[in-house]
Amino acid sequence: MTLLAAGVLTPQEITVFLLSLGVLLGVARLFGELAKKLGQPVVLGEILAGVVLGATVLGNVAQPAYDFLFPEYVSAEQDLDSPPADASAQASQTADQAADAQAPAIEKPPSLVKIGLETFFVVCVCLLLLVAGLEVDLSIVTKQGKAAVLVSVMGMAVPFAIGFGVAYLLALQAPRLIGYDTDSDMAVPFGLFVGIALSITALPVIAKILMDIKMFRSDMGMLIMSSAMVNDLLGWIGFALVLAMIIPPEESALSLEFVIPATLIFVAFMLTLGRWGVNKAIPYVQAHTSWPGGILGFVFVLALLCAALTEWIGIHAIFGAFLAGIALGDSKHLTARTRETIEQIVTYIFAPIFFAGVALRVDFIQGFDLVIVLIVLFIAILGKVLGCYVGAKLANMSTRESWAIGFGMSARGAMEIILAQIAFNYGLITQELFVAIVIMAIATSVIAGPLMQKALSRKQEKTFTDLLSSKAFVGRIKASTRRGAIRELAEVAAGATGQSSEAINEAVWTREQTMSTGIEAGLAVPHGRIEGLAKPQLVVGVSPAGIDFDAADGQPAEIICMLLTPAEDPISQIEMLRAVAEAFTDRARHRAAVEANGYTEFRAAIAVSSASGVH
Amino acid sequence: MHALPWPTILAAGEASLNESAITKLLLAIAVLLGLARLLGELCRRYGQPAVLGEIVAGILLGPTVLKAVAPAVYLYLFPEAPGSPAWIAEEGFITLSAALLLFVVGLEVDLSAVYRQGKAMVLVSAMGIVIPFALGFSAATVFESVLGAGVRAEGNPLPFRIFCGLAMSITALPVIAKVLIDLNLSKSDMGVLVISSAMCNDLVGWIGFAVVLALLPTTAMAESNSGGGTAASQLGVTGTIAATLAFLAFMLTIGRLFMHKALPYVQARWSWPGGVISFAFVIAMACAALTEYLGIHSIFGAFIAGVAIGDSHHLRERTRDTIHQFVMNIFAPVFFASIGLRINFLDAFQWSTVLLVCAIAVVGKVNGCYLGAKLAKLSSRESWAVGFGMAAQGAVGIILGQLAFQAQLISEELMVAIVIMALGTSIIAGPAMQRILQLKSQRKITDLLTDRNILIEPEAHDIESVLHVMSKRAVELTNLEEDAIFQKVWARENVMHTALPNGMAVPHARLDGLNKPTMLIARKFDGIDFDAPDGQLAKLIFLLLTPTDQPETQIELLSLVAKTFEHAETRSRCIQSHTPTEFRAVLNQVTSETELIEHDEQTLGA
Repeated sequence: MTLLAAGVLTPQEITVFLLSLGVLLGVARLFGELAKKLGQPVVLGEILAGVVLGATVLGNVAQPAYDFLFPEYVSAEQDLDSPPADASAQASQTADQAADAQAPAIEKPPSLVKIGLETFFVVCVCLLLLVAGLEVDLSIVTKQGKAAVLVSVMGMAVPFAIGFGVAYLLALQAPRLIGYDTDSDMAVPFGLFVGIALSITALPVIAKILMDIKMFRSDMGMLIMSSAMVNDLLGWIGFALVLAMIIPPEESALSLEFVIPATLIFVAFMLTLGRWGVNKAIPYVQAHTSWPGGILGFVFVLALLCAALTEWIGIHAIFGAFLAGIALGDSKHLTARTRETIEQIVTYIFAPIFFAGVALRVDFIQGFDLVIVLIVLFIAILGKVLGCYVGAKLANMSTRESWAIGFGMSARGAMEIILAQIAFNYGLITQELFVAIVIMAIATSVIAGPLMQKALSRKQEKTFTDLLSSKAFVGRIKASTRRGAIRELAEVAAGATGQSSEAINEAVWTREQTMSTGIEAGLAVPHGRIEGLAKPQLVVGVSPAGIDFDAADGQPAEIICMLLTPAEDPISQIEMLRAVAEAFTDRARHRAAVEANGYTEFRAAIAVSSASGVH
Repeated sequence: MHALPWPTILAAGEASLNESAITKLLLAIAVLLGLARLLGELCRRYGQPAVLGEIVAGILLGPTVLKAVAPAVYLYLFPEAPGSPAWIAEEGFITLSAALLLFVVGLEVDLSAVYRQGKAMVLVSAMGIVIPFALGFSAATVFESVLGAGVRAEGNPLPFRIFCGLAMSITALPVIAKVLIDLNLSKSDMGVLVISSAMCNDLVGWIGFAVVLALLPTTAMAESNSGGGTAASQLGVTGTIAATLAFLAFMLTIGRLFMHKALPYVQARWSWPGGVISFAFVIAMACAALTEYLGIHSIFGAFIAGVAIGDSHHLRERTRDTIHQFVMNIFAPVFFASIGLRINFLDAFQWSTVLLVCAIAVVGKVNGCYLGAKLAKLSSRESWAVGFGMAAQGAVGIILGQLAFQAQLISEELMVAIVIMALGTSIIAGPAMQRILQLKSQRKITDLLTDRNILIEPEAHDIESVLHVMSKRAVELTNLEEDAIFQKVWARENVMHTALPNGMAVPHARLDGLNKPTMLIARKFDGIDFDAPDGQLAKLIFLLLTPTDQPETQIELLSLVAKTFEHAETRSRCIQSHTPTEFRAVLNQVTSETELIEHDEQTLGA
């Protein structure tokens, strides 16, 4: 009975386990933030973190460090000495039995750290799909009606047809070109898989992109979202079926005749009765258990149970988690705060670890095949963009919008990588094709956002923090008058822009005299158009004591934002004014900004969302 | 293609996690978490700490009950095969849970609040540690056989004795904080004193425990397993202790300063709030790995990381709350349930050990803290209350016992005794303080309401008919006749209308012979004209019935209604509820949130 006490994991293994989790998360988040800074999807940085930490870079550059952090097998030294499993088993079993259990598997037993990490990845991906499911809104799908159906059907059928056709033909004629493993003798499932892999749109990636370019709530954003949802559902069901076709019968004791109906029944159940039941259960849980602990527990237990169920049926666990997410997310009783807590932890803790784990064990150099990558990329982009364009045109959208929808829908990402991972694990595709699909997924999610913006010829609106820079931050203003404050700001502006401070001071002061620029609630926005200025410039100064800018409400200005715009660009001034006003609408944020010490704290005060005003 | 030694991440690998292992693992976690949360909620409903239910869940699923009743189910879910993937995965998950749990405990410690309290705090926490420690230490010396040392303590009794002393002197911060809020004492001088003493206790307790672990001789098994990989074997006992203290000193000075500087930077440049959340987790993992490497437990590093980060006022409430909720509701239940999972509590239960441990813990802690509080010039009554409050060991005591057991420092019997003692002290802390201070706990609106108390869209269109309907329902809930209730309420209503602003009305009456204060709520979407000064129709109608001999209760209920329905959002969400359950769900969330904010303000010494 002292099994637990024996401690299966040795201190060293625990050290490595915790350290590797910390390193994975840290580097993934860092790269994610960098990607965001460069205007790219965060997921791109997270996957790259795995490439850097994994076999591709770290494994080739610093092999010992890689082997220490992410060991694949029990280290040689320990292996000779005594395998840990064997040592811990002494308490209950004889060493012989333990050795028997270990021996036939492979020569070297896999490292316990690796098993621990893999488990964690499984939980991570289930939670990620739970969150993706939470984002699905079935009522929107029905509301968008015809257009959504057209776009998603065309966006599904065209790439699927092209993908299946090309893959199937190449698999039979020139298997090397598409990375088909001739030994596997599964040309049809292979073709089906490639078709599906190329036709699925990545819902989380698209949602993220749409939010980033502030189009989530627009009509087109909703149309893309609902088409992507339908797409996702169909794609996953299709993939589940392909998966059922390829899993060797001896591995899952379940036959195809069981898997397909069981899957369909489960899906139907979750989308009707399950959804209804969950909707009824949530208020009950919220009324009778502690808040928000009760509901958090309920969500996770349901997701894990559904995941276990689908895994048992014979399709992947993530499918169950996704459906649980849809059923849960559809209930209006699930409060925004609960969703937020789940999403924050999952997107910032579990998802980065999972995405970094994706590329960890893949050697991209070893698996890279330019021909396959190009073929996959070509089919993927062509099929999807064309299909969705045609669908949108049929739904009577304008040409410009149709292209934008096509580009938006072509974003793949998490989904493809997960699919390819599973297919690769089952030996359906080769490493070359796996690498090509991962590259395709990353590439399409990178180009989707910029291309959409280009198609709509729409500039991304700048927020206050985008405009803020340390060079143009005055900090505490020494002057106590309007005149002095503007001069101080003009000095700094001169340094930041390379214009003469006299010219700036002159332009702004002239404008100020025509009509004072104090706006209500302690904010002032002196501004001027400057000849020869290269780009709009914001200069910020803070005066806790307040400077009288003659505002309508009589309050002295505590935050003074000087807006300088090129003389020939009348629009950017209005945009900047809007950004400034928006940044300081929240009183708590305004207070924090006034009290901030130095640039970093000021920036932090503004960056924190207004939701944090709760005290 | 299969020749490539490329390992699998998700499925179907040889000797790796295969499909059925994943099914079992997910199922095991789901069952563990589900039952733990369920029983935790049940305990909470009856005013007990949730950790009690979580541990009972583990006992039910473990060898004590499930294995005895249905061994096949038990072995399917939790296979007893050390070294198998499922076993290791489970172990890894539990290790992680423990580290995160301690991280959150650390986050709640506010060092600056501890500094501010000064003399009284030092006295209470010093006496509260010294006396039980001395009692525990001597008991371990005298009754070593009764208490039961573990394998690794044989031939080297010192660590065992120190541990017994420490185990008796721990205080659980979360339990006390909750009790103080329930009793409305959180803002009082005594409340702040108890909280800061408990924080100080926590800090000393965990540092002491780290020293104990460092003192342990490494067993042959541990040596062969670690393969010379950790620093422990090279550093020796003194080296480990020195390194630990150096780590501690570093984290609490330079490390703390660094976090304080780094947090605004992270908040400024990284996405919010994700940047901070992952920053905190990365620091926690790195510190945990470091202390594990030094040869003491990983949780110690996580705890210190929590203290260092939590101390910075740049860490936002919202972020803190998100981390707290997630760890406490997902990871913590799994950890506590896992305690009972591999141990047969019936076999390991020994009356002598349990009684001895409980006696020492209660006597030592209560008297020690009483003495400390007396020396700090608190009144006798308050001093006793401080003593009982500080005696609560809660989750912290349980973690300590579990870890010492895992480290083979103590026997299974002693572990079980410590768990029972920790639960017992937590259960008595609240009622004992309440009894001593003769306080009433705050009435909560959710305690007054069942589904029967809420009427959705009653068939009524004016004041008289709605009062009729409500009185009729009141008959089912009280011991009085409909007529008696209605006449009184109607008479009061005719004197002057009872409308409040913002679409609410509070008809009320004091009734002779009523057994308990009763509140009924009617939700009427179209509203009923109660002749409100602001002209709004009443959409929420509260019928307040109180016994004549409790004149103050009516005012209490009135202010409860006013406070709960203060915000327009709460009112509109209640008006839009379709069932009594939905209505109560809204109220439950609103009251918990208010409480949460109070709790944060209090533990953080804001």
